[in-house]
Amino acid sequence: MRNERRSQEELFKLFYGKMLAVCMRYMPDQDSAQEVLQEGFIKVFEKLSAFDYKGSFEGWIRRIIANTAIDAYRKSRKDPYLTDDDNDFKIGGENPMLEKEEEEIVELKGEMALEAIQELSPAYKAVFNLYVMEEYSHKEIGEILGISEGTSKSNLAKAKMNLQKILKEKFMNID
Amino acid sequence: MKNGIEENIKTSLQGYEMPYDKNAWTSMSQRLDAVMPITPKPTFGKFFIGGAAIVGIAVTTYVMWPKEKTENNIVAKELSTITDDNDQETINKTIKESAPSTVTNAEKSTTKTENATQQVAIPRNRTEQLAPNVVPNPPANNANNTQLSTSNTSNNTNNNIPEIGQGKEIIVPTVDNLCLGDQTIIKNENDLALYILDPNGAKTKIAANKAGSFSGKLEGKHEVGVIENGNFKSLGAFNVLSLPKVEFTIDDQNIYEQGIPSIALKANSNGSSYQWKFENQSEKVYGKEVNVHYFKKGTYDITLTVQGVNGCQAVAQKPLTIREDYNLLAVNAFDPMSSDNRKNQFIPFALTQRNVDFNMIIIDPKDGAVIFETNDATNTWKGVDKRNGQLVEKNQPYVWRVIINNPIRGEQPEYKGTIIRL
Repeated sequence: MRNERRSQEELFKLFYGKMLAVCMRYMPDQDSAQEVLQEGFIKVFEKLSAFDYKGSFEGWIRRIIANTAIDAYRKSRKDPYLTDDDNDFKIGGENPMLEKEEEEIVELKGEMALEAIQELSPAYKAVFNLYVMEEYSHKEIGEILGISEGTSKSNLAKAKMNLQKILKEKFMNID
Repeated sequence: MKNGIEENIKTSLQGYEMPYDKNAWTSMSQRLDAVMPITPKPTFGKFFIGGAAIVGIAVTTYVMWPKEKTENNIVAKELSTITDDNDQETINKTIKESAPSTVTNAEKSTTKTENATQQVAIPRNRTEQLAPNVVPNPPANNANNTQLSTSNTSNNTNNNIPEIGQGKEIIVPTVDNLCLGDQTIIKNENDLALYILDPNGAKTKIAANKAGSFSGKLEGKHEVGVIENGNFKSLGAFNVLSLPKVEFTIDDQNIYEQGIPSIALKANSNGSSYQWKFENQSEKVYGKEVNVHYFKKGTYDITLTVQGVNGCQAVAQKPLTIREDYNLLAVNAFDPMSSDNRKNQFIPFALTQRNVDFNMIIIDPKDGAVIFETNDATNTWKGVDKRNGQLVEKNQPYVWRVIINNPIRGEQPEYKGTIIRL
């Protein structure tokens, strides 16, 4: 189906929602997420014949889309207009006491989680996604993002603290 | 070990699906048209049927042949692998051979012909392109022949143009339609030379068992065939397709559409899709007429790729010069005592025009204190220091800083400047 538009359309529509959510976790806005999603789907269509049916098809697509998003994030760090400064756009302070409040966040909905992740700084967001969602180790994250293992750990801790604060401020009163 | 918040977020996002945007596929489709065009295929359906029939007859003959006869006369032979010099693709072919039959002198001269057995080669793919199509009066001007730059695929170089062996199938290389200027590798897996006949009647030779690079330099139908009895015999064809015209204009004026710097671009060509790429911006834009936004002065390359209705693409590039930095169209002085509303308050003009989420602060450079803050474009600075409720000193510069929380693509989020109270 490499060049069959109808089949490509069906596949695109089938996985659009889930894969856009993957891209949204890495990208700053929906437009750039859509851009990455399109790039990812082009790769999916190009590599479709390489799928070996050994694992989940959705998982295979998800991996391609996530890798495309990670690549886009890495490229964006070279853009002079996009900051990677940890202090930029950071929500909330770095209060370690917040760690104790995490039990309060229950039954978190997907859109809330996504909105909270979106508010993280790009550097925190990338580490959080790679560690929590993609299950990379800090060593692997360091290699992917070109940072030290220690920075990866530190960014993850700060990302979690900020997420707690964001969730608490924005969603604790929302069912 | 993941702790609570990690697991909580991960669980909530697993399977989370965003709503489908009805325009998403349109945009995706346009992009696919640009990067994965559906190449028009030559119509060789009838030849495919013919080829399939030949293969079917060969298989049926093999299956139906009496057992004892088969054992005596049919030799199953696995040909040696043929290695493509260009991509190292190895193709294993098992070929069933019929009983010995007549072999031409040319075939005898090749090392692949063993014990006078006739090879019945099965074309690998797209046999529909390969069915014979005799050209009544082919040009035979050897002076026009072009030798392909070739690489050996075996030692069976045939310098003479061989006659077609009686009853022998010829493997005609698969050649998809090309766009003008495209190159493709063509392999001749036969023990005789193949020729490509271009629309002007010039022939390009692909020597026996060689592969070479072919460039589509002339639009039109190109036939692939052999020389038989001094005449060109067509066995298949492909087209070299024309490129679309690509030309575009850049509007000289940087208009500020809703406070955003905007340059209009227009493609002056007819195609099926238009893709714009702007230097320093990763997002591609599609459409015949589009706008581009640049915020810093400089010269940027604008690249337009037009795809024609035949699937071929052409690219044009032009520089765009931005002469001044964009700083939210802010003035640098105001007079709070003026009766003119346009002069007695300060806020960068673009913030009043754009639908933007922002935060603006005014800083007293003497002590760095924030003397005014707003995130509402209607709540402008009237020159009052919030610490004491008094108007600030006259003829003194104050620093303003705006952070845009939802910058558009390519826009820096921070702006700053100075403002003097007159």
